[in-house]
Amino acid sequence: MGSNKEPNQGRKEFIKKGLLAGGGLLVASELIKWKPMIEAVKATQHTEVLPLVETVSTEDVVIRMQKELHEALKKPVEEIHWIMVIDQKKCVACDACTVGCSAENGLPPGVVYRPVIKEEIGTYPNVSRRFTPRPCMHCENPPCTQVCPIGATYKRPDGIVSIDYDKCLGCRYCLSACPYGARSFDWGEYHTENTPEVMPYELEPTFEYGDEKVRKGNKSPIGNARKCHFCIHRLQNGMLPTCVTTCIGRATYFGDLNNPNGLVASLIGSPRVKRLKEKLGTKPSVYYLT
Amino acid sequence: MKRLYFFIIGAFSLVGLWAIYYRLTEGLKMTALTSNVSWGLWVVFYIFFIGLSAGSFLLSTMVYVFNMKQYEKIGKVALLSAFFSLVAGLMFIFIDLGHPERFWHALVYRQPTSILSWEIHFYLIYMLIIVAELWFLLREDISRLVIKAKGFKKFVFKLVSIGYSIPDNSEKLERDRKQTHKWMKILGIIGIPTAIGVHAGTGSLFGVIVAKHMWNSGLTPILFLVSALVSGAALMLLLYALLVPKEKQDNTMLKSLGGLLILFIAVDLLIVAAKYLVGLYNYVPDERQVLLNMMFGERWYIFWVGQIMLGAIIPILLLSIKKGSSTLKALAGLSTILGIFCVRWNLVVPAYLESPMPGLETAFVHDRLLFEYTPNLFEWITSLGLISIVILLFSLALNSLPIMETKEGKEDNGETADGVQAI
Amino acid sequence: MKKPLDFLKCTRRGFIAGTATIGVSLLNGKSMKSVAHDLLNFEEIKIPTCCHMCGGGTGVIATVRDGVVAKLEPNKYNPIGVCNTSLNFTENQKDGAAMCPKGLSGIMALYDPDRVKKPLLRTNPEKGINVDPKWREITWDEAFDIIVRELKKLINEDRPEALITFSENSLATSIQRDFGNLFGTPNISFHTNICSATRKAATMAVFGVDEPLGDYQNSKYMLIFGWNPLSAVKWSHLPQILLNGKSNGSKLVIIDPRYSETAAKADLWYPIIPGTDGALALAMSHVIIEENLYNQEFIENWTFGFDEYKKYLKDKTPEWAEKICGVSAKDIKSLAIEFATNQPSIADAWIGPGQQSNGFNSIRAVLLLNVLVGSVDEPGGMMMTEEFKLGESPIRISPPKKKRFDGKEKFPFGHNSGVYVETFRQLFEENGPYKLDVAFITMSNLVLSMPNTSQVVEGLKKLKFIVVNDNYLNETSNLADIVIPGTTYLERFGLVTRGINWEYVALRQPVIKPLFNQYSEAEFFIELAKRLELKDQSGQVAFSNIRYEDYLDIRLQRSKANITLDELKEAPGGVWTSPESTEYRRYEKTVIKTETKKFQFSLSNSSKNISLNYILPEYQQRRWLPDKKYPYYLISWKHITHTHSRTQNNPYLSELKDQNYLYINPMTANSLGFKDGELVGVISPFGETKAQLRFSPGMHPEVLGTEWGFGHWAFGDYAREKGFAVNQLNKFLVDEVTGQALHKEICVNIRKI
Repeated sequence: MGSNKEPNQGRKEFIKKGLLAGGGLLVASELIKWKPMIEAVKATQHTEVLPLVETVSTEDVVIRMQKELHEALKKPVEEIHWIMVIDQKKCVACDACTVGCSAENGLPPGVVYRPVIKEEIGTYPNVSRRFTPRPCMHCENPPCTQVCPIGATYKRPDGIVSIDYDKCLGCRYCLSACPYGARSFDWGEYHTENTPEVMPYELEPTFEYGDEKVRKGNKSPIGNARKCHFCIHRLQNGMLPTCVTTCIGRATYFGDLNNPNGLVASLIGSPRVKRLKEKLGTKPSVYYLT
Repeated sequence: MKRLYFFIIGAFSLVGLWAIYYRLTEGLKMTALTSNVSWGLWVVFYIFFIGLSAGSFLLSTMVYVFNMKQYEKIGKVALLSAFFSLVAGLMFIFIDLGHPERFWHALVYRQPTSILSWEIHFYLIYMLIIVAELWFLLREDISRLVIKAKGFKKFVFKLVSIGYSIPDNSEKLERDRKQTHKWMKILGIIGIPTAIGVHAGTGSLFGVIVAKHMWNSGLTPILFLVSALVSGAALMLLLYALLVPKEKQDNTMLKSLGGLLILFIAVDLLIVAAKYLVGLYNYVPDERQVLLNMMFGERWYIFWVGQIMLGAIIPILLLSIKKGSSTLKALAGLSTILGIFCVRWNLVVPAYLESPMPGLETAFVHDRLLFEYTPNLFEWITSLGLISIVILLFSLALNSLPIMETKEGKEDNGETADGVQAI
Repeated sequence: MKKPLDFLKCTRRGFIAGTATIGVSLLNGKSMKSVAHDLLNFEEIKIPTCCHMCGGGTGVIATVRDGVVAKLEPNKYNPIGVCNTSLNFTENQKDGAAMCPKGLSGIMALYDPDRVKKPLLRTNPEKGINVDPKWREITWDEAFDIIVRELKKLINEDRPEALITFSENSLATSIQRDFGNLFGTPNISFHTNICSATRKAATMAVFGVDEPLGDYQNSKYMLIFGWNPLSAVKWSHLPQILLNGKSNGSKLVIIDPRYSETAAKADLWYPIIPGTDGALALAMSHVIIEENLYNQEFIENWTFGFDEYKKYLKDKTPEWAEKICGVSAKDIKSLAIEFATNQPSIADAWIGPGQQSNGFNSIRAVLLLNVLVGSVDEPGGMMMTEEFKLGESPIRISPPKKKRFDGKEKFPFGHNSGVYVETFRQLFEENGPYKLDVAFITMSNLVLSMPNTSQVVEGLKKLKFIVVNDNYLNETSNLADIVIPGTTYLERFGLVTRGINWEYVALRQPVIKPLFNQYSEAEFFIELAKRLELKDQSGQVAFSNIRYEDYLDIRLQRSKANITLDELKEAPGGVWTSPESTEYRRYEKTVIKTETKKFQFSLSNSSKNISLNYILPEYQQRRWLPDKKYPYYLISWKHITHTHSRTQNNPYLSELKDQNYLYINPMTANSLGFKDGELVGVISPFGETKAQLRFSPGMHPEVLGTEWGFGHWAFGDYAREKGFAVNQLNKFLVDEVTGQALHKEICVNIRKI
């Protein structure tokens, strides 16, 4: 990042090492191998993949979150406490998280897990804007799980508030009980209904909670309450939630609060931190840095 | 006259059946509900009928627990309407579920922290109590009807009587009647907290919701309970004044029932005043704005014309008329019932119309995420159809069973009973 | 579960098995039942390609499951989603790439039920805005026959120049140019001149490059005039590099008549009167020179015309500028000093000032701030970006000698995309140099994207034969004689090379077969050329055995990358990046491509028949100013949720924003007696439309504004009749130096209805 003080040759070496180091890092990740990349490198460079160079920073945000995610997944589920931190200074209200989430979970019309609230504040010329992405808060004292008559929505030991689609009656009591309006109901509609027919991508299966479901007829999740679930199905495969990975401002962080050396634990030690509607005592797991 | 009545009700009931079928096949997307206004017309009717049921039941306990003989004439009809109102309420919940076929989950899985979970169990117990009371009350007459009736009717009556038959001698009959009295009292006593639990419970399922400031108050369960009593008394007034032929009416009872109704309405107004004036005093948008919208917004008439005029002023005026005829009293009852429906609407829907977080209403654009609600034609048709079905069943029951007149004098064995027609 | 997933191919079995395994292990004991699945038997592959929901071309990985495109994700091998210099690539890349909401909604563009599926022939000879063309479906062969017949007429009459093409500018551009050359018409035009032609002209005039890109991540002071990179996100690395720059301690200052989303992140926002950015920049330069904060060494060695510039600036004081632009003199002074002392700094402007009649000089004045402080081609400064060049086209033909219809040569800094405004003005007034008969319009909704809608429609009606190649029946295709179904980016080939300070080429490839077996836009032109038997300069029928893939292959091989198309397909993420890193101070090694071979404060006096007031970046008022009758400036902007006028039918994007509002300062509105949300009439001397007001305290009190692209009356169910279009309100205004259409130069009034 600084000025090019090194001579050309040294810089080329550095770049080469950097690229190879990057390759080595991703080799280390359990799920994705850079087979083609390594082979290309091997073919042209006649060298071997070097171990990670000390000077190349591995503390960059998403790779750090990725690593910490893998660490956390090794622990028993009751020792994890997933939290999300949203830096409102970095959020640019692009709505990519809203749409990415809708695409990842195949959300139909009328269901949105993570809208972004955009406010204009002040009087000209002293004005500003505030952007607040609002996923499910995954409260520690969730008002929604308290009121479900059959316990179809419940809080997992790792903190994620889940819904059992096969149990849920669709009584919508939990929708009324959420102070953040985070729950939606699946009315059974399609975006492309009567156009003249529903397009194939709407009948693709979705994998929420690790269950494969196709929205057809009267089957769940149609007729159920639905909400953000921190992409459990992605966590189960060592991937960060979609909103975290597609955020173009890099404003969304996710991790295990019980890891004192983790990124999210350090972020919420800031004086900028706040949670929404703290006075209600719900103790959300989503923190905002204002 | 009766034929016409049954014909009309029957027609509406068929429409109701069709609507329910349509609802079960097409799903909730046929309604105008949204994810942000998730409870609408059907939930309003649900709490209305549960309230009606609890109110009627509590009125019946005046006769069977507190032995207030002057109201004895309406004892049976109170219980019968309690039963059918409960059925109506539960049916409205049934069609309001996203997965009606999973309703049995509520009985198999339960959640102690959820008031709704408790309520569902309460409803069952409550229903059993009503059914038991009705059986005890009517078993004698039904068994007489079993003897008299023929064919299908005989089968139905036999089913309902659960095999009870009039004993041979008068001592046994006397014993049975004493047993009836005893059991009515016991069931009544158990029934009182159950009914209170049923309806104040329904109220507290709204009252505990922190997310809706307007609901979140200790007064909400009380308000529900008092409204229940109001609607119960009004229904009794309406039914008695309407269904019992003028010559046979007990005017004293009607008057004191009317007086009771006025008392209940007054208490209801007091609680409403307490709640709303306190709410308007502060500037918390969640409460003040909701109340202002309710009273002076687009749907102001539901409060002023419905809740106040129809629900309070008109009935009080009509009932205060010294020599008022029973028709006036019936009108007062009807007006109150309509008024209480508006009360129920205002208890449920306005709280949803304010967004829980400023800016959320514009963050996403979709009809199913609006903070507005007007029930569509389908919801109205289904509601009226369902109510017609219940009224039909109620009418059939009234028609076949001796509800509206009490028995005087002893019956001898073998003598055929006075099959008194209700209408 | 430990089965490694080959990056380009991945079967689903492993995923599901893994889900079940990890699922069970994670959820030990709790009441949640984890359902173990039978291993599912479908094929899932991941194919890298490049997005085209806007012209940015961000990298995408498409997941195709059993032949259905099921998911789109960012492609972190493609630098566009990551950063804009090679030094930051490895580091930023670990953040993974990002994708904006339009890219994530791409599946809906592919499977949009309103898409045109078959070629259509008009049977109603009458043409008009609300006239039903009465389409008849025809086969591809029939369509080609009809078009070939019309074109043959032109050849036989020796008037090939009567064919004009209009097109989006990152779609088959070189094929269209080759086609034009082969056919013999000079009238091949593209969208840039209704977009950013002025900025390109200004940057050519100052730097000799046509799209310099600031190295924001490493800068210490970012001064942006009228650009909204955090919302009008052209390349999805823009928010990251700006915000990373901020985290590294840089200051962000925005000059804009409106408090934009970028202003929301800025340290300072200065509201300015539209069209006066040049004055502000000149006054800043005045201060920098007076305070002796300029980079003397750089200016002496690498610039031309500094003395004349200095002389011109003598009386361009902050006080002078304050009266013009509304920013206080004190603020102008501190801006100048901050800009000059916080090095490296970047001053940038795009189409905010650019789409107004004084844009050429305004943007030059802004860019010259970089030159003054020597922040040119330095880390953290304005980079002299060189887009990667593909090799020569395999088609050997020289351009025709006929003059262009649009008179581009009259514009000293005209862009080679042409001058749409002049084309349509001449069409409408029927006073062009010759007659135009046939038009091809490719992926371009001219009726909604050109100023002066009604006259554009009349102009189009005067053409004899119009072929529209598009995915939808929109406002423009309703005036066509033949509509050809187009492809979405998920169904065609292309190469993307633009947008970062580093040489790369990314592959755009079909992830499924075209849904309706359409030709891609490039293949359509190739097929036409074949059927017309157009010959190249050696007399051979061009394209006789070159498919579009071969065309791309040849150009790739002839480029610096020297790879084949197949090798590019196999490269990680479908991207080739230069092994050489971003270079700085290229001017020290290669000749600067301006006329004087230096960075130019002033154009050389002998430069191409340009009038005197453009030699130096003199400030002049824009031509159309508010008056008593039309007292408000009307500006328009892009928002991240939509691209021009082509995404309003997308369900996900409509749910984010389905109409545009007319934003007004609440004080202005209250003084006029208007309420928030009120429907008002918007009038200009040239037209009228209706709009819904929305109060926005961030609007300058004299300015009204809205998002661009709405106001459809055709297109599809989601898009129709939502919002309003500003181009009903302006006339054929064109920048006399660059040929740019001046969308942002409109004055209006609002009235009650």
